[in-house]
Amino acid sequence: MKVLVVDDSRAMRSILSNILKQLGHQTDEAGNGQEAYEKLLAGGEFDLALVDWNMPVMNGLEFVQKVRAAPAHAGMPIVMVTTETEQSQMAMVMQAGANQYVMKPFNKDTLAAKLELFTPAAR
Amino acid sequence: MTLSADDIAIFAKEIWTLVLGQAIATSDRPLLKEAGLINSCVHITGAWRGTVVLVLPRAVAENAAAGMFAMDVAAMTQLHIHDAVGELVNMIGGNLKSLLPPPCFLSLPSVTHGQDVEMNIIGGRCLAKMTFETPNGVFLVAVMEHAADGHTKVSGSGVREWGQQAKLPVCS
Repeated sequence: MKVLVVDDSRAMRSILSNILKQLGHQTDEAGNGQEAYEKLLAGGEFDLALVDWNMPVMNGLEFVQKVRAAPAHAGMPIVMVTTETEQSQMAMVMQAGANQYVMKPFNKDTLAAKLELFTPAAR
Repeated sequence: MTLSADDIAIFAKEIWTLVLGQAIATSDRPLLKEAGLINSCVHITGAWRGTVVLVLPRAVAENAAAGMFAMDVAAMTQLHIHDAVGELVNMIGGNLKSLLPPPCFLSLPSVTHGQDVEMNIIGGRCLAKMTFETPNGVFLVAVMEHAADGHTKVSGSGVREWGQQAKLPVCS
């Protein structure tokens, strides 16, 4: 899969991208929701986006809302990768259109299991 | 609802294990004031208000950053270190937030470094703190609860309460 990694932390983007590459996926990166959305507007096509919640400029929730409102990308699976644990907050982002979430910190197996849900065979 | 040193230990150990692949132990050794300490914090607002602080010697921060970026320690720049430490305190703060009454909200992390850097949390008291032993030195995690008056000073030698003294900047 081609996965868009969206996180304001370069360290976390590095961790995620390294794991994704080990799992055989292609990656691209964005430092916040706005950068990620601009990649989509510029024609970027991704099979999945891994998105942090707490980011400057445009946070993860706002990114989900923007993507789901854009017909061209509304179907792209979005997995939140976050420290957010509050049920009401998670319910809000799931209602906005996120498909799954992974709690930070995570290990490779946890991330792989979530990604597996969105492989072409699983869809 | 309160947060304890044990809560800090559980999350810090889990983060170091899962993110850095490094087992760490709690320590009785104090964090020594030394040149180049990296101070970082993330604030929590909402039903509970406070600040989670992570203070690391440069060697600990460099090694953590190298682990997160999967690069050599020698290749770590200030940008790498600040970014990595910011993410570590973000994860610690976010996980501790899960123990607090909702709704609570996490700020973006702040990271400072330098000689004799002190961080002053306005209106705070030290609720819990814990030091951890790593192969590269001891680091500190502390939780400040914001109170109506007073402020708390975080320095290289640890955390202590200042009470209600003159107002100082949050980070200096």
